[in-house]
Amino acid sequence: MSSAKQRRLASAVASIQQRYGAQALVRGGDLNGRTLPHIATGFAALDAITGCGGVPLAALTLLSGRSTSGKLTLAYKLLAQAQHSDAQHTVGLLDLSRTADPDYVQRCGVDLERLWVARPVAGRQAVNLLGDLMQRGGLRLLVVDSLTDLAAAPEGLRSLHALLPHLAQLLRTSGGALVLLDEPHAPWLRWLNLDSSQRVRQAAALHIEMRREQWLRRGDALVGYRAQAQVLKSRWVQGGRSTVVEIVFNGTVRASESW
Amino acid sequence: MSRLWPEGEPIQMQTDADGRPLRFVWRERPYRLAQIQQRWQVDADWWREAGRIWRDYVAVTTTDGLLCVLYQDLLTENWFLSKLYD
Amino acid sequence: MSVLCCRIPDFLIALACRQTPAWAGRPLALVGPDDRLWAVSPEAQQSGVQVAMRPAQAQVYCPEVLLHDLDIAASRQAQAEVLAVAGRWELPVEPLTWGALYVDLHLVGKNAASVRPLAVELGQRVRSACGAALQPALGWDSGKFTAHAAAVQVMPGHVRLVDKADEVRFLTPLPVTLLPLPPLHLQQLHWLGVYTVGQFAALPAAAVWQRFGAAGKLAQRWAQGKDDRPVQGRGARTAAVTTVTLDPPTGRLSPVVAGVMASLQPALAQWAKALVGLRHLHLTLDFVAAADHHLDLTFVEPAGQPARVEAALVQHLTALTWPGAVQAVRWQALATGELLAQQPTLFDLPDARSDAAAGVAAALAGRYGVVLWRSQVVEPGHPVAERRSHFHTLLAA
Repeated sequence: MSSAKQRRLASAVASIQQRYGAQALVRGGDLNGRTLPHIATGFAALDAITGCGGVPLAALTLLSGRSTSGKLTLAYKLLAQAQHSDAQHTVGLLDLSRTADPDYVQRCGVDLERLWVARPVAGRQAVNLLGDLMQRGGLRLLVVDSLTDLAAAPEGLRSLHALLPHLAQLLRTSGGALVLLDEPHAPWLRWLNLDSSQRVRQAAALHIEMRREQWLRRGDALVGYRAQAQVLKSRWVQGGRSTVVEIVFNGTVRASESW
Repeated sequence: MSRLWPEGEPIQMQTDADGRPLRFVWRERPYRLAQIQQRWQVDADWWREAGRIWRDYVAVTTTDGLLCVLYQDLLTENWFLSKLYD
Repeated sequence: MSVLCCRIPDFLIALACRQTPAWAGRPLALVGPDDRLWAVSPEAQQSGVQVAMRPAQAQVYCPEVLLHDLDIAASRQAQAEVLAVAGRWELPVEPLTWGALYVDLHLVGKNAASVRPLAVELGQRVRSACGAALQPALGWDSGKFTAHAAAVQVMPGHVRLVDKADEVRFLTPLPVTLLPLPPLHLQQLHWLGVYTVGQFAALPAAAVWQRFGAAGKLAQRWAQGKDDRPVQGRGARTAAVTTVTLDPPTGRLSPVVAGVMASLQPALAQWAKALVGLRHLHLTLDFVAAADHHLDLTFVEPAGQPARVEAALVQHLTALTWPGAVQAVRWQALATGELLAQQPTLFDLPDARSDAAAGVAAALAGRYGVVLWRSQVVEPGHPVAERRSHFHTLLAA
């Protein structure tokens, strides 16, 4: 199948699942019966290509993309999915940029009562807090927003690198999932492992990169955007597979602001 | 699904002769507006201790693919970034 | 100083079983006037039932628990009898809790040899007055904490005298849970590997103060055998009458509760620093064009947490039929008492999730400051995005 046809098929699948639910269409390969502990992303097409049905539990996932790529939306959807799987589950958001918008987090389906928002001072304190939250907090999922903010602070990146060797054990013990958000780096920097996230990439079990492709319009109105989600690395499947996700704005705010 | 700056991120806005925003600088990086998606004005909370909010909002897309909400504080005439979609 | 502590273990339960022998040896819980458990038998405690739980919570943990209303009148009568027996020497007697009291013996005996016959005499008198079912255990030391600890360690019908020279050796191996610290502090100590009174006593004083505040500092002094609190006859000092004016008068619950709690909280905080809690709060509700109404809030154990006091206040005010709007509330703390040691539980309470969150938040706050928050959308329709929601700390009140 040509890549254009593949993209059209993926787009059609995404539209149907967005409209009728994730279970409306499932790939045959998903019925293998092999399941790894995971949190579904809420986008079935993406779940199908990660190799574990979503993002893995007890492991690190790196989610990269620039602004308006949809990575934050995906992260919030993951928080909601992690909560839905069990009424007891609490999730966390390490909000280093202090820009979390509870109104929109809630619209993504997150139960705010079971969401802890951590706002430490960036740097070593944030990294230490990350470790403590995974160890003591009993969180099903912790989203760190973002690696860029962590690395920008003095000693932040160094502290994180020091934590990485212990992180695997921490995550295995806690059983929770850890998702780090990151900005994309130039491919040549990635290939040469010269970017600041390279050690985190090496430690990650899954790396997904998001990229906005086009706006979605209804007449003149902008109603969302279509983004490509590419699995750059997966411990369970060959990297490089991609799919399309559509992010449609939830227009439940008053008429004068449909965002 | 967005980031929200509760205090507003200060930006330097360049407008045309009609006051229509053209480009802005945020964190020393320039952004050119591709399209203004929506405009609206808010005049609220004049009775609150925190003070009146009187702003002109614009939801814009930029040429490099960002979708964000900017506003001009009509009391101070300064421009701010309110939300960035991601 | 010379302090004798007389303690009848499980006093309310023993009293109830004396009246109804069929209850003896069974999981039993007595429900107080505030619809909370005021006493729990050891058999029910083994299933996780605790004082201050609601009856429904108790049944979750122990479906076969016998729930009966506490006979307050009979309990007060029995308590008065015990106090009367102790008061026959005309020495200062301070009630500690149900079936427990301190007697100040510094005028009549200051060493073990001189105190022993007095302690034996008091024990025999109490047993004679209350019956074999309510056997006292007695402890003696120069300070209240150690005297109480000695009375807790010894079996009913026996006396444990701790000389000043032996005080530190006696206290060192005792569990740190004997100190009346809040559960969150005890949890933090556990995480720090501090399990005994001796370990707590040996911590750097400045660190204890920084982490646990004035109450922790005071508890550490007690752990070191430096408890110089006097035995206060006729109960502890009480606060003056405080008036909360509601302008305009209101018929709604929340402004009344908020006003009373705002004026009460400084006092609660001050008492907490001295490891003292509220035992009896008297309120007078001044209604517009109607007679005043009096309320008495009593707590089975001195209440140190504002949330506990607020819950009791809300319960009493909700049960009352208001004849009109409230224009003022006058309150007076008629009795305070020393906070009792918490019973650590192996079992999570039914609403443990929020307690667990607050517990983790408090533990992390000690290291990082207040960094954990919960958010809430309060005005979803507000035209300004940042006014739609706010954050509040995960830490418990």
